[in-house]
Amino acid sequence: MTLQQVIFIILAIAVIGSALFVVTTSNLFRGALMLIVAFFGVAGFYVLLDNGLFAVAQVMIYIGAISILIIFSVMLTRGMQAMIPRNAQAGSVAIAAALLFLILLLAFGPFRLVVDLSGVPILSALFRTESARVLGGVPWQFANREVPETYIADFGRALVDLNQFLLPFLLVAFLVDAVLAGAIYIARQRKPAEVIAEREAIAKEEAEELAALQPQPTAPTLPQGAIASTADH
Amino acid sequence: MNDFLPIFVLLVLASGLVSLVLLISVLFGPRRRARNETKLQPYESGMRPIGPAQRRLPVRFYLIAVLFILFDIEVVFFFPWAVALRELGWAGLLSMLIFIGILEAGHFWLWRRGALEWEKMDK
Repeated sequence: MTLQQVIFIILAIAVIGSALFVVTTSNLFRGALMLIVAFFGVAGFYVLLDNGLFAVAQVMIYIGAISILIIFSVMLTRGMQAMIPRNAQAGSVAIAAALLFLILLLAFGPFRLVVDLSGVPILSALFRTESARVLGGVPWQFANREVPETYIADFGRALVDLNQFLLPFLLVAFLVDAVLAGAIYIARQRKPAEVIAEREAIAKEEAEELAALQPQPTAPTLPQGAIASTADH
Repeated sequence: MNDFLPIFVLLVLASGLVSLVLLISVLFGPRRRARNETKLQPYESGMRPIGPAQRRLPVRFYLIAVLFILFDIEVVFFFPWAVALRELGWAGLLSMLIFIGILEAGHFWLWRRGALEWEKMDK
């Protein structure tokens, strides 16, 4: 076994294990943390595919930003951490997903050269869809194609070349600006009365939660400063 | 691929060290279970802990996180451009300046709106 294969197996175990943990855990916060491990493993796959640029982007955007956003969302949402969600459909969903994956793999994956499913009565409808035309038309690469050494510089050159990707590149900037405006709109200024009412409701619910979490009702009263420091956010 | 080998070695060393330290503390640590309830409490500067450790964050953090993603995407585009910068010359610099200019316009706008100020948004 080559070193690459050893690394691939370690990464695959890490990614599948952490991904399984993410979808099976009832603790959303721990799930969000394990998602980072899965993202990191995917970055490792990009490295194995000789695509360091994607690996860097994966680490920066998915681990650096999106994971933080997910963790913030969990920490922002009331009762999300204490909640114990129960999913009674996990088993049937897993079977359905596995079946669908198997069909797609046989129909459009590399195996379609070996097994032809287009004659099967129910599945033949699948082959008439637009996505079948797109997916079925992919020329799967089995050959080991070398990645040129200068691929990052080539990408950078293509990005600012007027005949290649300069226009899409600049459009990305406008797209980011549009998302920026949307984010500001969602977090916009609201009427003071609206905000005050919401804060009062939150404070009331928090007080109820705190009362429920108090281990001993006979606990000595706390110094005034300690209570104030938790309430000022 | 070989450029990333040190990172992989670092990962292996880091996880190995963490496992080793945990293993040592399991092997040599005291095994008596704490009967005293005070010993089981989380440490909070000698104070009696108030409420759960995982508190809710102000919703303002969400906007900060979204803005961070957007400017993170901007930085990812710098990376391939910077590798090819020398041969791209003035045309490459100009293109990137336009790109940054469009994003800076958005940045300036949200700055003017007070989105970066902690107190202004809900007053």
